[in-house]
Amino acid sequence: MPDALIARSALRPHVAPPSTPAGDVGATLREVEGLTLASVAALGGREAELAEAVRAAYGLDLPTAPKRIASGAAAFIWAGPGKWLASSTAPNADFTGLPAAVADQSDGRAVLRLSGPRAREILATLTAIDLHPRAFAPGDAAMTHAASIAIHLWQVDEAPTYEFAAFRSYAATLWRWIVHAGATRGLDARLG
Amino acid sequence: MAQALAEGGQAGRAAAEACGFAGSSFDRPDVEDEAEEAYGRGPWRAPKSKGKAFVDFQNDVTVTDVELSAREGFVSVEHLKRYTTLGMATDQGKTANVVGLALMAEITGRSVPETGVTLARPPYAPVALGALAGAHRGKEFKPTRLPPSHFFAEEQGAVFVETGQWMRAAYFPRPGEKDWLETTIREVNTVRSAVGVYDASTLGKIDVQGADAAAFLDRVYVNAFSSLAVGKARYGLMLREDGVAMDDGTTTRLSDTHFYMTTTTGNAAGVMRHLEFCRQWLWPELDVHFASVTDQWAQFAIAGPRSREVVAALVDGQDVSNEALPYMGAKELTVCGGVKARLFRLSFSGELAYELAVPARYGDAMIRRIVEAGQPFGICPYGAEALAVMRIEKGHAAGPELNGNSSAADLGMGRMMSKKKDFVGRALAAREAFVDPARPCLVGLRPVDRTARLRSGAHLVARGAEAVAANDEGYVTSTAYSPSNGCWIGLAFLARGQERMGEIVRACDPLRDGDLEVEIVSPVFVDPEGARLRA
Repeated sequence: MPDALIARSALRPHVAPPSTPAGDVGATLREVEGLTLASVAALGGREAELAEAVRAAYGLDLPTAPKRIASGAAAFIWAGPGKWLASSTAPNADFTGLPAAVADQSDGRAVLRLSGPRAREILATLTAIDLHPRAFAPGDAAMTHAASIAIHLWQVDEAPTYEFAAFRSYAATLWRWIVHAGATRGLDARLG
Repeated sequence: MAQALAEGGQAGRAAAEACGFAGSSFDRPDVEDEAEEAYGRGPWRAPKSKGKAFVDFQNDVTVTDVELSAREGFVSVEHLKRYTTLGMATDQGKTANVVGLALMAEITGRSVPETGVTLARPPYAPVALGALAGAHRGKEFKPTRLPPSHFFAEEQGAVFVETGQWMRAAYFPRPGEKDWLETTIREVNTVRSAVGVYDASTLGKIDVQGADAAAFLDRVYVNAFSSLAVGKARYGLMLREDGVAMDDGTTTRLSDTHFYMTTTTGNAAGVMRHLEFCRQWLWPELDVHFASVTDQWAQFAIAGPRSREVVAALVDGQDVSNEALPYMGAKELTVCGGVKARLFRLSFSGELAYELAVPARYGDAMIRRIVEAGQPFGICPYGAEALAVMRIEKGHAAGPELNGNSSAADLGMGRMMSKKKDFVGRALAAREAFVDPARPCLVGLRPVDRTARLRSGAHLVARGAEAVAANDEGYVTSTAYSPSNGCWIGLAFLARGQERMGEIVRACDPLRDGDLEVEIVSPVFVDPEGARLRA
C-alpha cells in the first residue's frame, strides 16, 4: 500500500516569501492551518431549528449581524443574512450534521492571522473598512476586500489580532501584499 | 488662514462632542495674516499685445474671455469659471487661476481677496501616478490565482498562460521539442492513444442545496435537471434573459436536494452572481442555497483509453468498470487510503475519461500520484493548449463561441431547449432574428489545401464573391492544428451552415493576407458517434 497523500498548504516560500524585521517586531503574520471550515446556510423555514441545533451542539447563539461568536474550539462568523462561516480548531470537527445547507470549506479557504501593535496599520493599508477600535473591535467581522481579493475578516483580540479567510488560490498573492505593507512596519512573516 | 484654522478647530470639537466624545483642545498654529501682496501686484497682462493672450493654457481661456465674462455680468468667480472654463482643466486652475482671478479683480476694481477664489477639488497638490497605482505594479497589477497543481507544473517545466486571474499550465515541453506546437501535438497524441492528466480545478464549482434545488436548476438551465438521477451528471446550458447563451458546464446530482455545478473558468463569478440574482430577486420563494467550492476541490481530468486503469489503481477498492460507473456517472468515494473524493465519468477531450476531485490540500500530492499510477501506461500531464485542441476536435463550444452573440440554436443545441418548462431566456430566444433560418450556426472547417493554416477571425465568403462586408456569411471562431486529422481545422459560425455540409467557401483574413478555400464539415472531427467516451 502506497503512502497516504500529504496535505499541503497553498503557500510556499517562492510565492509567499518570509519577512524578518530589522528592529522591533510590529506584527506577526502566520497561516492558520488545521481549521475545519464550512459554509452554513439556513434552510427555508428552518432558521429556528438551526439556531437551536447550534446552541445545543456548541453553546453559541448564531450572530445575526457582522460578528464572530466563539466558544471553545468552535466559532460562527456571520456571512450575510442567514449565512455563516463555521470554524473549528478541534480535530475531526464536522459541521455536516447541522440542519442546514452545509458545504465543506476547510480547503476552500486559506486563513491568515496578523497580530501585533502595528497589525491595524498594516491591514488598513490594504482594506477600505474602518478598523478604528471604536468602529471594529474583537468579535466584529466583515466581508470586504484587501488587495483586490475578497476576504472574510474578523478581529480576535485587542493585540490587535485579525484573522481573514480568502479563497485558497489567492493566498499567495494576499501574503505578498501583506509582506509588502509590513516591510516598513516591522513585520515578522513566516510559513509554518 | 488664521481665522479658517480657528473655525475648523471649533467645528471639529463640536462634531466630536455631538458624537459623544470629549473634545480635545485644538492648538491653533501661529500664522500671520496674509497681505494683499500675497497675490502679487501684476502686471496681469501685456498692455500693448494685440495677439491672443492666454490665461488658462490647458483650456485656452484668454484675457478677452475674462473681459467678456465681466461685460456679460459674470463677475462672480464661480460664474467666471463656468462661463469661460477657467480652471476647469486637469490642473484645476493651478497654473491659471491666480492670473485669471486677478484680471477679474482689476476689471471690476476690487482686490483679489474681495473677488474670491473658486472651491478647489482634490488632488489639491499634484499626486504622482505611482501613488495612485500603489503596489498594483507589474505581476501584482491584479491578483494571481494558483491552481492546486501549480508547484508540480513548475517543477515539470511547464509554460504558463494567464486565464483571467488564473495561472494555468499551457503545455509541458520536453527536451528536444522545438516549439509549443510540437509539445501540444505530443500531448494530444498521448491522450488520444494512452492517457493524460489535466488540472481542471480552475473551472467554477458551485455547491447547490435546498428542497427546491432541482426546480431552481430547471429554471436557470435550458434543459431539465429535476429528471436527473442521483449519481448522474448532465451537461447544461444557461441563457441570459435576452436569449443569448451565457455559460455551460456539467452539473451532478449528489442527492435529491444537493447538486454540484461546474461553470467555465472565465465565467465562474458571473454565473454565481446570476444564480444569486435569480434566487434573491426572481424567485425568493424557492429554498435553494449556493456556496462557491471552486477552491475547495482540486479536480483532475484523467483522459485517454488507459484512464480506467489509472483510476482503478487510485480508488480504494471501488468498482470503476463501465457497468459500475458508466459515461456521465458520478460517485462519492475515497482514494489513496481514505482521502474523500468525488469521481465523475466526464469527458471534454472525447476520450474515455474521468474527473477526480479531492480536497485542495491533497491536490499537489494527488497529481503526483496520478502520474505515478499512469507511468506504466505512458501518462503525461497536458496543458491548456492540448485541452483547446481536443475541444475543437470535438466541436465543443468555449469562450470564442459563447461570445455574447450566439443562441443555443447557433451552437447546435436548439433541441436541448425544453418545451415542457420555462427557463431564463426562453421567451426572448424566440424572437424573429433568433429563429431566422439564415442565422449563422456552428460548423466545422477544413482547408482544401491540407497544408494550409487556418486562422481565427477570418470571415467566410462564397467562392466567386468579392471579399467585402456585404458578402460576409460568417466568421471563424476557433482554430487548431489537429493531430488526429493531420491538418488545421476550425470552428465557425456560417449562415445556413447546417444545410451546407461539403460546400467550399473562402476564409478571408485581409489583416494577415489570408484567403483560403475551406470545406464545410461537421464540427465534430473526432469520433462523431461518441463511442470512445462511452467505452
